[in-house]
Amino acid sequence: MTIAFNDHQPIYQQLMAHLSQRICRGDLAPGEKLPSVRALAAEAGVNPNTVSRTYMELERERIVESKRGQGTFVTEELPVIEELRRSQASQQARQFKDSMEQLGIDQETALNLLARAWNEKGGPS
Amino acid sequence: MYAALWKKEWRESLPRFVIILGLLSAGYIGILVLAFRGDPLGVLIGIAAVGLHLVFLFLQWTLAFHGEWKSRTQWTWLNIPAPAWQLVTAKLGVGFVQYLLSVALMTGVGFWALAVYAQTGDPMMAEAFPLFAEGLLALYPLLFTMLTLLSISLGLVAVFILLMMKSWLPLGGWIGTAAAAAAVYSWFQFSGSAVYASLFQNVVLFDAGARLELLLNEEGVETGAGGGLYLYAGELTLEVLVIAAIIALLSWMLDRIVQA
Amino acid sequence: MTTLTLHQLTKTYGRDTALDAVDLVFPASGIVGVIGPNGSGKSTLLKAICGLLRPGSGSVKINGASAARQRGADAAYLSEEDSLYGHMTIRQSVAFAAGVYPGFDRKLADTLLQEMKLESNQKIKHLSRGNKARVKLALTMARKTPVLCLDEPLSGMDPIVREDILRLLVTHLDVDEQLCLITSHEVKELEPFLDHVLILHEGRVVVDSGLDELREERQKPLIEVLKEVTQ
Repeated sequence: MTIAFNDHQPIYQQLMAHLSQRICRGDLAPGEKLPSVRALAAEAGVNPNTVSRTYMELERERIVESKRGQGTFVTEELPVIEELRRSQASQQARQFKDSMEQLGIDQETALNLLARAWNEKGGPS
Repeated sequence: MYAALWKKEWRESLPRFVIILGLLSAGYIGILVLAFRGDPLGVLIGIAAVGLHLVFLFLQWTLAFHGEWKSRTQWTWLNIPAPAWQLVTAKLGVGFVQYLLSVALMTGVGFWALAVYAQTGDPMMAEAFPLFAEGLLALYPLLFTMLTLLSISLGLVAVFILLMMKSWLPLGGWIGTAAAAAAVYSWFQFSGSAVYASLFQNVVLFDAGARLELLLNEEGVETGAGGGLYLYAGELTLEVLVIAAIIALLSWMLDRIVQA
Repeated sequence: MTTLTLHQLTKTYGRDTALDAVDLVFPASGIVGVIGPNGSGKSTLLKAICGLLRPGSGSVKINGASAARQRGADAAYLSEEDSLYGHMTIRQSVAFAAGVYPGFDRKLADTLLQEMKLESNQKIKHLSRGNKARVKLALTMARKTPVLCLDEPLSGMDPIVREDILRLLVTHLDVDEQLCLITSHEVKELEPFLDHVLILHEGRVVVDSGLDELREERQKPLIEVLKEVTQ
């Protein structure tokens, strides 16, 4: 896994976003064990404490669950994942809307563009 | 920990030791060849070999200490959590063991060469060399002790100056040299004093003059000389204590003032 | 967990002041980046902590006791230079380290060296620059000291070696127990690995902050912060 970290946001937040995305996509299935702190740190090229903090924050949002002595697992509560997916999607949608506005494109054109892109690519990537 | 340090120092100094031994061996072969030919020039090479042993510890010890800085391993060496006396004495000890081995070799070759000279057929040599050999043998404890003490002193002074160089740039070396010169001067002053004589020149371990006289009388040579050259237990003890004190000083320097 | 504190630490070389009355309390554990322009005192700081330099004035205390040369069991120093004994083979270097460092984790050293796929009969002096750096770090890590001072471990290394070195560090450093100080000019590469950062400028500490806090506060990469505070 290579993650392109941006320069202005704390890394644990970026790592959270990255893991959330993978969970929503199903790359990391419900109930699946996440890599150990050290393994993910080595893999992602970050400090182990950053990974610990990421897991802690994700656990606070109930997206992952740590089992004592066993490691950290993706939650098996599907509604939580569903909600995460929705919140991520609406966040992306807001970002899309903002960029369209910045380009001076109105809602109708934007929706048309979106529909066209959808047809070209043949589904979500 | 100490054993690992000795092992490392031994391995590190071995190439230098081999070079010194090689050089000496070339000289020894020269001596023996000259001895078989009855050429007294061999004796000169013998004296040169003794001279080399005078600076043997100076060479091995300074190179051992300097080597750490030269090879940039001082970072590793000084970061070893061993007491400084172990770091210092591992280097000094290995050099000294090599010195003893080398002196033993020199002694063996020396007496062998003297025996060869005696059998060359030259009547003058046949008479002089056995006497020479016997004199040497009689005085050996004294000569060995003197050579060793001189070699150790030269070596320790050099290591002291070297560590001073590593402690204060750029003047440490000069300060060290001045301090060493002052110490040596006062030592000679002290060792020539009456106080010194009364304090330390007692318990004769070895009377060189008497040994020599005894020997020469046996050979039928009349001598007027009597005594003068003694090895005193008191003096030797003091010298060993001084050496120990200098080693303690070097160890203290390594912990407190030497910079990597 | 270690308490490492500096009190009014000053070090001068002739007329140059390398460290100027530095007061610092280090985090108890984790990876601390020590960055700053050339001559800002980074390396001097690490050497002073390991007792390899005589402080001009002030003090360095590790768990309450003064730093000193013979405290190599508490603070390991990894030099930028080829500080391993070149005449030893890799195997001999491991045996030597096991002989002189109390608590040396020989198993870890062997594992790390095996991962590097190096011939253990090879002499250190015949290794490539990158491999020398790898072996050096492996031996230092296996000392398991409470404090590790890595002086420019990335300098002069190619990108693959740099990545390896950082990976070795995060895989085997116990970030909850050990305190690791790293100096480097590779600020961008180092940044994601840091818990904490110190920025030195002309012998003084101008930034002393957790990395997450620094980002939240300044919203810009470390390299920009460095440029800003050292101008």
